[in-house]
Amino acid sequence: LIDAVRLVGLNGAYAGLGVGVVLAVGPLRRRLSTVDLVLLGYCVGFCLAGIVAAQLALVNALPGLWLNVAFASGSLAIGAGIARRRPRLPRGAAPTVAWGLPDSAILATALGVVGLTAVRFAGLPLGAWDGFAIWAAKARALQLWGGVSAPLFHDPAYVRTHMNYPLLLPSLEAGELRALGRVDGMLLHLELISLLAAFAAGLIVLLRLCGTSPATRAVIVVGVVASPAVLSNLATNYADVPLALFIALGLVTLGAWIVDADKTWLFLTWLFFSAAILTKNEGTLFVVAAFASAMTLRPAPGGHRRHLVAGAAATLAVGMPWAVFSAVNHLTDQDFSLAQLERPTFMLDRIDRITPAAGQLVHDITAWDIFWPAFALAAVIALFGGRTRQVRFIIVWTALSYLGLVTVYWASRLPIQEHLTNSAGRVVTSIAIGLFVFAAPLASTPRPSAQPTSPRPATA
Amino acid sequence: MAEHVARVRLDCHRALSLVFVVAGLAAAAIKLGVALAGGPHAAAAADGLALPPGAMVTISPAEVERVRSLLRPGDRFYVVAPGAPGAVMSPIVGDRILLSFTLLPNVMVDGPGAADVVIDSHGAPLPRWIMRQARVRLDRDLVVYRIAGRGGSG
Repeated sequence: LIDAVRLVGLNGAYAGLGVGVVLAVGPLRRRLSTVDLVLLGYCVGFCLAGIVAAQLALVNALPGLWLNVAFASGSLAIGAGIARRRPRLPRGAAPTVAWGLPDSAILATALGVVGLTAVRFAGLPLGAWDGFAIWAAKARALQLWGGVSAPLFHDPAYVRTHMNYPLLLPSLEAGELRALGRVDGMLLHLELISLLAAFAAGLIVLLRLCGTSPATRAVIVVGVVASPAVLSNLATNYADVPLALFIALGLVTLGAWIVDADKTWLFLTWLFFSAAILTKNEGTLFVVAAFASAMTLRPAPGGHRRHLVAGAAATLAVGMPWAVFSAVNHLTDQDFSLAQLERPTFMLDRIDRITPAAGQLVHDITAWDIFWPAFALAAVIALFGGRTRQVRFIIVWTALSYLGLVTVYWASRLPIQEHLTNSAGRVVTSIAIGLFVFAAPLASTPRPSAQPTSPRPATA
Repeated sequence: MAEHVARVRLDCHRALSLVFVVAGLAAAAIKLGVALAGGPHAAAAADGLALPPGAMVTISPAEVERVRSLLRPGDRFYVVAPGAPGAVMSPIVGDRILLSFTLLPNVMVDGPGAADVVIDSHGAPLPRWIMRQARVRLDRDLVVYRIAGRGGSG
């Protein structure tokens, strides 16, 4: 029971941190009901807590329960102060889509699945290799040392633990272990269940802001949260599903920016994509592909490509401290290096690797649940509904991400079949879940009287 | 004509949206049923796995506990694990990674020269200097040596 109270307290601190941030972002706050505020606040706070923990781990100051509570208190105080000083809008000037029974049912279903899965996870020892040897080991080292002073992050003896992987996921798990006050391999991966809950909470609100119908929201939110493929992958304590959840949220917000160019969407995109690049190295590939895809479209009225460039630069800047640490400590990827792409002879010698890699990746993307057919149907619906810009955005993102992954396998030093067998099914997770989640705005049919898709109030 | 095309397009949009929602909700309901019934991870839970699947390691949980009991706080250990970085994962390398996790906070080192304790899970030939200095053999099944004159703070 004490463990449960501590974990609820930690997640409450994440929610407080995020609510304070959302309160401070005026245009966003004005479009949200109180329930929306708490749900989106939890999602935002979870991402922000992960980003902060990953940065503090670099200076050996990993936060535990009480430091997270202090962050939440500070954030709430500042957010409330900013909100109070903001002039009140006239009644009706800032329309809020009322929180109703359908969304309550979606939320209850999602949280029910999450709660049930949490109970099962609590009795499920880590049984998958990388989840045990890489991610759990890093979390345990961070919990014990408080940061990267642990030999596991720089001593060549630990070269097998993929020392160049970034720190967000193990930092969150180490924060949970610190809140528990002990190392518990049976509870460590409950942090991933908290992340799933935060994802569901945030996605419901974002899809409401995008003007999707309750039925579409139910299909997408429950479709991800209850997906056997998602749940079984989360149980392994691998970082692929967490990365995919951050990428999916970022795609939704960047896709919304394409429609109305509201900068609040870019702030949320920065947050979700920053969490993504601090989760796994391929997160950078998916993030760069998303910004590059958005750049190919003419911005909506009021938007500028320089906003996108600034957003991309700010996102990549979040990953710089880890990149510097990796460079200083020579933490290079054993399997792949960008420098290999600059060696034409090396690449030409391995050109026969392209075909198996390309085929296996397509096979693995289409094997993920029913995500691919659902996206394909939604894309057709969007074309009939005139949402061609969003369709172009997601298809270009998918193509760039796919080509990037093929290139990685092409240039990898590992035997191609071994490399594909061990990883291809997992690295495509972000593409599969990203496509499925993006099906929601594609398949939605805004009613003639629907609210504007922007989180900006009508009078702003 | 243009009006007719627009109407057909709208009808197609509505029909496909209906298909998306109905099929999507049906799929979500099926997934919910699977999740409530136990899900694919229930089988793994029933196995009670306490360590990664055996194909990658040769050390049992009991042996890990025995090694742990032999280490003193602050002991730095070396696991005899031939194989260069980038080589195909072998059980020997698997043992090394397993111990690097399970023996935390004891720190693993990448050579016997800096180690207080040497662990050999495969009976691989040890460097001669270790054999000269390894006065104390701590465990007979899983070969664990303490280098003479070295030890942690315990």
